Amino acid sequence: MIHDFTYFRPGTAKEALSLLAEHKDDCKVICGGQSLLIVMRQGLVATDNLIDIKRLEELNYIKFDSTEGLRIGATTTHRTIEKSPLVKEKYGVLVSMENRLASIQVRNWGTIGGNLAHGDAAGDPAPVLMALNASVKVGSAQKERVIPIDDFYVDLFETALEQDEIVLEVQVPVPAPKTATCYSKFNLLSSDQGIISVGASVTLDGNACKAVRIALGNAAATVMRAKKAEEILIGKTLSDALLEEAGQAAHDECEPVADIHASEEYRRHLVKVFTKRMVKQAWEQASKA
Amino acid sequence: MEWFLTVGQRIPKKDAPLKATGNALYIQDLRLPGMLHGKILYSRYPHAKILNIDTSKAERLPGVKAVMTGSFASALRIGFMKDNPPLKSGKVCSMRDEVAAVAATTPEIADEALGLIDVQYEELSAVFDPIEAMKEGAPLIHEELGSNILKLPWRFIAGDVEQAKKDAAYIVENTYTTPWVTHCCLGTSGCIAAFDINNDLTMYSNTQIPSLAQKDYVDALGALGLKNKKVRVVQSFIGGAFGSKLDTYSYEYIAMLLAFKTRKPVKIVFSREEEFFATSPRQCTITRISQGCTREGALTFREMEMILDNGAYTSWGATTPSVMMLPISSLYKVPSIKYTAQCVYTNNTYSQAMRGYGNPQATFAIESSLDQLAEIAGIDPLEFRRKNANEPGEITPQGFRITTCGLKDCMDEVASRLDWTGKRGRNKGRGVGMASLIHVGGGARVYKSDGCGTIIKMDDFGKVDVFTGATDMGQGSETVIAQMVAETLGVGIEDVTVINNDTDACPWDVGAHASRTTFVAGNAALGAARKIRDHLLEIAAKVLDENPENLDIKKGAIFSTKDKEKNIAIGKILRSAHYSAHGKMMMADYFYDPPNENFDRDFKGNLSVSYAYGTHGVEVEVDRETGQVTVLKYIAAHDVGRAINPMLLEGQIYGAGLMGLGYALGEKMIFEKGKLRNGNFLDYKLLTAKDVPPVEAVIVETIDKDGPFGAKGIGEPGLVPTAPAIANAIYDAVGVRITDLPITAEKVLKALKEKEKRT
Repeated sequence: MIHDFTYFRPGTAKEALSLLAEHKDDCKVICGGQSLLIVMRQGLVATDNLIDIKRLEELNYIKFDSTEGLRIGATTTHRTIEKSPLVKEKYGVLVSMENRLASIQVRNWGTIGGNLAHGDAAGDPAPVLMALNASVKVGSAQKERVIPIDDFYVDLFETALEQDEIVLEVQVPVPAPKTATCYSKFNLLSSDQGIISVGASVTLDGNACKAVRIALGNAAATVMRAKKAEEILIGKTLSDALLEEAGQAAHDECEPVADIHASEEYRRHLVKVFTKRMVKQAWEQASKA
Repeated sequence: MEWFLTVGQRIPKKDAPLKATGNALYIQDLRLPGMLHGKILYSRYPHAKILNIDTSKAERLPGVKAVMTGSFASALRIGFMKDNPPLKSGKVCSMRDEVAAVAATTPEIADEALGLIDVQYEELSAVFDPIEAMKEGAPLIHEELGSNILKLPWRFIAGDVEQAKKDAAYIVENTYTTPWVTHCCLGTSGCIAAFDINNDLTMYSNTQIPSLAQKDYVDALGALGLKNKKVRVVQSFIGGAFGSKLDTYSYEYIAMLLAFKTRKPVKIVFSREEEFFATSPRQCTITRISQGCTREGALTFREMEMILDNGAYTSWGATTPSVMMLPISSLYKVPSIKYTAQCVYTNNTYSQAMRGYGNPQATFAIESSLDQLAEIAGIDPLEFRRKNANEPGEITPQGFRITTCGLKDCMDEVASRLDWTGKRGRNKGRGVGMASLIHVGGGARVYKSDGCGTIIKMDDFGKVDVFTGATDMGQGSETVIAQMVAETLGVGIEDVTVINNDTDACPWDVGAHASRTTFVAGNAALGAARKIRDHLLEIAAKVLDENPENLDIKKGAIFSTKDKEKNIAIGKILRSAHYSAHGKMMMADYFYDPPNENFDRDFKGNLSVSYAYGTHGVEVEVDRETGQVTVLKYIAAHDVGRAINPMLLEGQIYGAGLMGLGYALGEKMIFEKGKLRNGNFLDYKLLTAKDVPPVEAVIVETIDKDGPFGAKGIGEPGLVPTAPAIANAIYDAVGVRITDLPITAEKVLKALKEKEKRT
C-alpha cells in the first residue's frame, strides 16, 4: 500500500520550486507518475510530500528554431511528442522512439521531464537524446543551469539534479548536415522497456564517418556512451568488418547486469547486434541525407 | 436443413453493457454493513518451524477486531488430500503459507497490524526440485507421510509397449519440460463471509464451483462444531477464473473464521501481488517421451513418464495426470501406450487447475515428439498426422467412444490457409508448424456426478427466467444458455434472463470446468425449455383446436404449421394458464447428467460423451542474430460440433490462443528458493494487446448427436496445441528444437549457436 503523503499541486513553476525548496529533505516530485507510482506502490519509495508539477502549462511546449534547435518543456507528454508534426519533420527518431515507448495509455499521461528525472537506465528517451547530443535544462528557486545529457546520469536511478531542482526543458541541437540518428531496443513484450537499447547518430563527410554518437540503454547502471565503438568508426568507411569491430567494442565496454529476464552474456550479445544494426541504419540514412 | 433464429447467431454477451459501463459488481465492489477487512500474514521462509507468534502489539492497534493464528480451528484441513490447514501451526512448508490473519475496520489498519505480528521461526532445510525431493534423505514436507511422493497411482497401460519398441522401424525419445504459469485473472480472488444470528453462513465469492464450494464450507463449519448449518453461496461477477477458482482456498476459510470470531462480515480480497504468489498455478512438469512407428509411418507405441511438482500441499492439480491421459492414450491412433506420473511434494507453491488441466503439458511433448518421429521416418508432418488421425466411430485404447471427429478437416483447413506445402521445409529463417489436440467436449465424469440442474419459469408476458447452476466466469455461458432457451421457446434473447449466481435460487451444478458448461448446462436448459414448450403447445392446441404436433413457436407466437390462420401470442397462453380454473404455473425443471463414465481402476472408461478436436498452425520468423521468434500467422481450426454463438466462440479461441502463445513464448513464474521473483505484470510477461499476432479462428462443425443443438465444448481446447505448433515451426525455420517452455529468444539463440558449433 502507498504510504500516506501530503499532496501539493502548485500553479506555477515558481511556486513549485519554492515548495521544493521548503520540503526538499522529504519530498518527491511527480510529473505523470508512470514510473514513480509503481515504486511507491511497491513500497520502494515512501515520501511525506508529493509535489505534482504535471499541470504546469508553462512547461508544456515544443519549439524549434533553426539555430537553437528543439526545445521540449518538461511537462510535455510522450504522446504530444509522438504526434507533433514538428518533431516528426525535424527529429523523426524521437517519434519512432515514442511509438515504442510503453503503451498509448502510458504515453498519454507520462511526460518527458518525468521520464528523464526518474533516472532509469532502461528508459527509452535518454539513449536517443544522448545520441542526439541533447542537454537538460534544470532549475531551482535560486538558479537555472543546463546539463549535457552525457553528464545528467550519475548512477543507478541517480541524476545530477540537486534536491531542490526539477527538470525544466530538454534541448536538442540542430543536427549537422549529413547526419542521421536511429534507435531500437530488444524487448520481450512490445510495451516493455528494452532488455537493452541502442541509439546511434552518424555524421558523414563524403563516405567517411565524421562524427558518431552511440548511446546504450540498460547496458550499465546508467545510460552510457559506447565511446570505444565510436572511436573505431571515426574516419572510416562502412564495411561489415568495421561494424563487427564496433559492435564488439560496445559489447566489451558495456556493463550490463544479469537479471531474471536475461543473462549478462546475452545482454552483451544484444548490445553488439543492435550497435551494428543502428550504426548501419544511421550510416545508410545519413548517406542519403 | 434446420434453421434457427437465435442459435448460431453472432450475439454479443448479454452482460457486456454492464461490464463496459462499469455497472457489473465484482467482489471488489461489494460491501456489507459493518463489514471488516481481513488480511493474511504469509511465511518468511519456504520451510521452517514456527517457534512463537506474538500478536499482542497487533491486537492493541486501534481498529483491529481480531488477530488469528493456527491455534484457532487447528483441526481444520482443506484440499484434495486434506493436507492443508488454512492457518499453519507447528511449521510452514512454502512461502505462501498463511501464518496469521487480521480483521480490522479498514484494509490499511489490517495491513499495518500484519507488520506488528512477531513470528519467530527456525529454518529447516528445504527442497525445491521434485527429483531431489524424491531421493532418500530429502527433507520431508509432511513428515507423517514418510515420503514426498504422493500416493496417487497414475498409470495407464494398453497393448504391449515393450514388444512395439522391438518391432518399431523408427523410434524417438526426448525429455520436455514446462514451467509454472499463472491464470492472471483481471479480477483477483476474494470473498466476504457473513454469519447470521443462527450461524448460517453466506459466502459472497467469485468461485467457479458454487455447489462444491458450498459442500466444502458445510464440512468446514462441521469441523468448527457448527453442525447442520446452512450455507448460501452468492457469486459476484467473476473477472476470469480459468481454473484458479476451481477449489476452495485458505483465504476463504480464514474469512469465515474471522467472521465467526468477530460476528461481523469479513472481506478478504487479494492484491495483485497475492494473486500472483498465493494462488495456485499450472503445474510444472518433466516429461520423458518415446514414440515409435512402422516404416510406413503408422504409430505403434507411445511411452511417457512424467514428474509433477506438487508443491507443499495438494489441490486438484495433483489429478491433472488423469486429463493428461486423454491426449496420451487417444490423440492419434496408437495401439500400445504406457504412461506413469508421479506427483512430488516440494517447498514450492502448490499447483491447481488451469485451462487445459494438464493437456497443454502432455500435448507439448506428444506433438513435438511427433514431428521428430515424422522427420526420421521421412514423412511430411501433415501427412504423418493425417495417416494416424482419429476418426468417427473409433474406440480408443482408454475406451473413449469417438462420435463426431473433425480432426482431419481441421488439419486440412490449417494446411491450406498456411500454404503448408508452399512454405514448409525451406529452413530460411521462416517456417511453419502444426499441432493437434483432443479434449473432452461432452462433459467429463470427474466426480460421481457430471450433472447440472436448471429451472425455467415464464411470467404472464412471455419473459423467461432461467435458473441454472452453471457459472458464467466471463466465458459467456449466460448468453449461450439464453440463446438455446430463446430458440426453444420461440422468444427473443432479450426476453430471457439467466440467474446463475445464488445457491438459494439456482439448482446444483458440479462446476464450470472441463469445457462442460455449453454441453451440460446447455442440455439441462434445453431439457427444461422443452418441457415448458410442451406445456405451452398443449394449452395452445386446445385454444387453437389443433394437434400439438402441428404447432410451432417462433417470435413470441404459437402457430400451426398446417393452417396459418391458427396462431396466438405466447403471452395470451401464459395468462390463460395462470388465470383459468385449475390454473397451471409455467415452470419446469430438468437435471442433465450426461451418460459418460468414471474411469475404472485401470483408468479406462468413456470419460466424455463427445470429444473436441482441433489443429493449430503457425508461421514464424526467427531472427538468427537475437533468437527472437515472431509469429506471423496463426490459424486455429476447431471441431466444435456446432457454433451456438460464433462471436463468443471465436472469443474463446482468440483468448485461449493468446494464453497458448504466452505459454509458448514468454510466460513463466520464476521461483528462487520457493520465492516468486516476478509476481507483477512488469516482470511476468503476460502478452498484451500489442503483442497479439493475427489469429484466424476456423470453425469446423460436425453437429454432435449428443450436444445441445449439436455443440461440443470449446473452453479449454484453444490453448492446448499452441506451444508445440510454435516449437515445430521454429524447427522448420532454423532447425533447432526447443524442448523447454517458454521458448525465449535467449534459448533459441543458444540452440542456434550450439547447432553452429556442431556443423
